[in-house]
Amino acid sequence: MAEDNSVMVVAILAVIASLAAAGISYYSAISVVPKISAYASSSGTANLSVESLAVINFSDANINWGSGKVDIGKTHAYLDTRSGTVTNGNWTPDTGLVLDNIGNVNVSLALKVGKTAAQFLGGTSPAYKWLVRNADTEPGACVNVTALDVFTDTTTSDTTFCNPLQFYEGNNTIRIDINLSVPYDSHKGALSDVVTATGTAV
Amino acid sequence: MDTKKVITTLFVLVIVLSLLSITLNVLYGGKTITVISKTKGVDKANIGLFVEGGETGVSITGNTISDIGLYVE
Repeated sequence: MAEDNSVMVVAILAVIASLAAAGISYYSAISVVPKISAYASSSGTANLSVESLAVINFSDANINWGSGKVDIGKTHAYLDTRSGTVTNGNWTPDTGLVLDNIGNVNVSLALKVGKTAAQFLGGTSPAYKWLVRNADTEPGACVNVTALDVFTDTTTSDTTFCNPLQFYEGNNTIRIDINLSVPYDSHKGALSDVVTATGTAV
Repeated sequence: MDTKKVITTLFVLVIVLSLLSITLNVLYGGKTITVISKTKGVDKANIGLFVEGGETGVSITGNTISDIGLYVE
């Protein structure tokens, strides 16, 4: 009888221990599952944490046409980084911006400028346009864009151009070109604006 | 006799709970966990030009006065 009691005590302790183990396993499981963003159905045995980084970088972050003026007798000068030309003016032609996705996730890419055409250039009928295109050697970097390689008016609120901009090496670079129509009665002096690119992990 | 039944039941319970614990660990214990540590990246670029003043664009020429005259009898 005494042996039975001892065995029963041990059994009860075993049950308590098992309950604790099961509880801990369950709590651990339900606390981990919501944090899994790429939860796969395949089995695995490695425990590791892979950090996802959404990082974009302008590898060419400046367009500077230098000093110039609208030619006498012309109403507008046209400055275009896509073609690398300046028409009806004597500014120095420049090339466009280059943006890379240097993170390890695809991102949705949105662009905005800091000023409207009127604020940036002023004068009569100014124009301030942009376009997005894939870098020449990376034709698939920008996916699902609605107007690739077509100039459209810039916006001061975020406009999505790529969804996604891929991160794969050799296919993660785009070019952003700017086209200005500078009126003869534009603001004078140093004119500048800032283009902001925002990449959100998708 | 009753004590033996209870003990047997408890051991069965131990086995079931242990299997449950093992199952949970197999299902969730060895997964790769992806943590989104940075979800947004931002960068900026500059656009600039200098517009020369005083001589820009369409010129405004001064008024000129031309005289045309004739006499009609």
